[in-house]
Amino acid sequence: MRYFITFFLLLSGFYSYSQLGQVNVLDTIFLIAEKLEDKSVGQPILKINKAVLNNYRPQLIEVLQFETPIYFKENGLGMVSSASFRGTTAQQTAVVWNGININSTFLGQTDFNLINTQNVSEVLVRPGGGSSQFGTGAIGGVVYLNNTLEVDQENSHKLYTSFGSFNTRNISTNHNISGKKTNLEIGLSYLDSDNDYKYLNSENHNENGQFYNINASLNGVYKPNAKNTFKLYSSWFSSKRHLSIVETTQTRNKFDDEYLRLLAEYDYSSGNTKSVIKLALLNEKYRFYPQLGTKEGSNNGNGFTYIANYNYQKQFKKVILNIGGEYSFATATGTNYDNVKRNTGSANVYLKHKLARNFTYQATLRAELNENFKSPILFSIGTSWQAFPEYALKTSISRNYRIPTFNDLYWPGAENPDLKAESSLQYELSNEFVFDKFKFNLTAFYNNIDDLIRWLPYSGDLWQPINTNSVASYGIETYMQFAVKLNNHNLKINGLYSYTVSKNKETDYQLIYVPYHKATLGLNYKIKRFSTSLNTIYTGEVFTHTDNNPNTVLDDFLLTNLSASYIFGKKYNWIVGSGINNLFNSNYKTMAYRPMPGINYHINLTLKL
Amino acid sequence: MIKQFIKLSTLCFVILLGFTSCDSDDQDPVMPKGDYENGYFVVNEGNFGTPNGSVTFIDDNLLQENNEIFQSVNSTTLGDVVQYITFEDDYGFIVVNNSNKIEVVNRYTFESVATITENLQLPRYAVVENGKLYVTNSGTNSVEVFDANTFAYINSIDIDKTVEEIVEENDLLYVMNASFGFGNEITVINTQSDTVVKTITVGDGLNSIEVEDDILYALHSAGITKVNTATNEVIGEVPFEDGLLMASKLEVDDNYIYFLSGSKIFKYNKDVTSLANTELVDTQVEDASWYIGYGFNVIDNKLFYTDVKGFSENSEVKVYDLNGDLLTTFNAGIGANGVYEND
Repeated sequence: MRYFITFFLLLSGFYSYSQLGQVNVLDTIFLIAEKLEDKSVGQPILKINKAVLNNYRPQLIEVLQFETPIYFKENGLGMVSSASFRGTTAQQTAVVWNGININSTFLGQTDFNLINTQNVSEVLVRPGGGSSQFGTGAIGGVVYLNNTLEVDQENSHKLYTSFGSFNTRNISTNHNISGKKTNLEIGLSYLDSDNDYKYLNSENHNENGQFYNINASLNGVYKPNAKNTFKLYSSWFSSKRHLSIVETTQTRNKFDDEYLRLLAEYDYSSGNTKSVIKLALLNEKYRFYPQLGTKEGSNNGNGFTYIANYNYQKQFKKVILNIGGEYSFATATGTNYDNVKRNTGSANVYLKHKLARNFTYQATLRAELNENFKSPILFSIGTSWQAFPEYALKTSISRNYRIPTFNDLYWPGAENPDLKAESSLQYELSNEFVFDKFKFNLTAFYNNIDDLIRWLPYSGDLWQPINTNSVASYGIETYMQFAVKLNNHNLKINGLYSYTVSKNKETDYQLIYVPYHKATLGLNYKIKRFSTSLNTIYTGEVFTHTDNNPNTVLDDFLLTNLSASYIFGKKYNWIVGSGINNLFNSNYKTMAYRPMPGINYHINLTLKL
Repeated sequence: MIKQFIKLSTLCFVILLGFTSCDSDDQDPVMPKGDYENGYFVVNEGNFGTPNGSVTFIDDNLLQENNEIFQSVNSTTLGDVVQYITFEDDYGFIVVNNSNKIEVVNRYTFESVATITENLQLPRYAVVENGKLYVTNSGTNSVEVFDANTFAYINSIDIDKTVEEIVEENDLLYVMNASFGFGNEITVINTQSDTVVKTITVGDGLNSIEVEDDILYALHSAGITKVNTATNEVIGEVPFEDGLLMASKLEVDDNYIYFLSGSKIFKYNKDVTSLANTELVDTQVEDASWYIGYGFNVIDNKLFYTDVKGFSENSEVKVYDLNGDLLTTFNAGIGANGVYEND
């Protein structure tokens, strides 16, 4: 709580100094519906660009931890992790890759340690409902991984190497080869760590936590003329990860994951109409080895999802209308899946209307046919009223859902045929202040979630999903950005604070692993070729028992990273950087009995051509 | 006068008695052996994959509980999935399943004495007989044998089947070859030679076994099978009457048979010929079926029933008398799966 007050004072402090400096703030004024920003009337978006991504370790989890209000549980550094966005469960955050929902069909969630940020252009985070646009899981919010593919760009080549504590090595290479009508992005990333950090105030260390992963991606665009655009996105990710043990006598095990994602897109624009065809293939494979050195007792899963999607968009003077349809077929085989299948068809309508010079709204509707479930009709309505040049009032109402996963449905011994989809109705109101150098946002939200599916353990290592009680999540989020430039000095400050209540409506207890408070503060200072960043997060205490037992809470913690870099060279750039993570050696956990590392270091070298 | 004398003498007598008793205490002190000498231990599994398994102590007057006693005495966590505890001499042997170990403690003080890890892979239950500690080792489908005083590994007895509960009677061990509702056999081991001497087949869905007065009782999905432990021959079947399903956690105490079906506790005379679907008491615990009846024991004319509350918060132990009247309740740790006596 002490930290929290300090933070709030800091935030208010920045607010009052808002009249200084210069910043370019992005705002949607033109009536377009291309990018996520264009299709998010009524909802704020947090945009994390490449420079910010590069400031963190390559797993998506860290950057989101430091830059968004999302709370992450992590079974030790680099281990299995899951998100809680606006007080929701791990399956209620949709991860979307270039427009395609990539949450696991087995688990319904994404492990944020298994997403590499080195091969994406930017990450957009949109809190709040998004199921009518992105389907299942978009209840707490959407994490959008974007590869911006533009033709006629400058060629660029980058090689990055980093070495850090716990023998952590990272090499990545990114190439951008562009012509007048083409662009090809090639990315390769390798990450490897012994991950044997010492637990603070303990004789023990993180045992059996070593991992490595590779991510290769190839994206291309071909735009022969103004009317036709062909795009191809592909990403392959392979991870071999031991799962750290809590006691040295435990059986050592490991987990292999592999993901292949392919997306082909064809856009045809003519006058004020546009057609987009998308074909996608998602493959996810895993194998769990309960004991190292033997395949005996291992179990695996191999899932394929095929998606065909068509959208037709017509632009009128003040209206954009889009209608579309999607068919997807998901199938899985493996130890626990006997060739299970799911067919889903959906139709959607999107309307964006600039009703007045300063008032825009959008509405979406999505109906889905699913052989396994009855899905609710999903909708969203968002409005944006630019009351003053500096102030906009935004509102959003939406119905969202999360369908049961293959595991929820077919896991042997844990089948629960009565499972229903989780559904949520939510409201939010957002105040956006944009000044010269300062941007401030205050959002209040209320989210009612019914038929929550939760896996609860029973009898040793067996778990089963059930539709439990309803949950009401509500709270506020504030964001602020401030930038000042004085001669050669560039200072950027951004911060956020979120207050989240997420209550089981029957017991009135806060859900476990949902902190009431989370705040972040980032300071970035740049002078000529030198730049340095200080990033801090505060996470309030979380309950680990459903009865909110005060004796088993995880303490609040403050976590700070410091990094600095200097650019050498003229024709080619050599960037030498280094960083200190957990600067104040904070002894923290985001999951009970899973200590995170204390202070640790890394150095890196980047060559840019 | 006489009255006064009597009063005075009574007074003297009382005073004298007081002194005498003090005297006798001083001369022949019964020093407590430890904080946990008299009472009951609740074994709390904890969450799988998490070292939050624990042991709760309840004093024999049922006045108060003491949670996490291993942690408080030894300043370290006990382990991951604390499955079972058994006692012999001064020792308590705590089977910690997913930690692949047995913590040996002084049963009166709960101070750690030793940690046995050799050859242990997902141990389940244990018993001491003939100075040897026998452990069912589910990771290898075997029974591992250790010296119960030096804790040294002696040998392994291959069973090649599921191994679960283990009980002893007259130098013989009975190992249940069934778990999670699958299996119908019991392996008999001779503790002189540490060899398998027989396999007894009982009903499918074998759930639990108990030995009392030379009879082995085996609870399965159709009823209870009785085995004579002198001959190891099946001597009788006691079937369930209509409607009785999912029976679990057999206990035989004095002249009665007890078991659970969900939230209900059943009690029968040992000699009944069928098991009527009439409970002694319904604990009214509400939870998903797989959590209900997670722990049940009959000790000292008391019934201990644990409510694990979905493993997502601390358990509650309900204590009933033999008529099914609730005496009291206690808080225990996560996933209380059994209550054992320190006798």
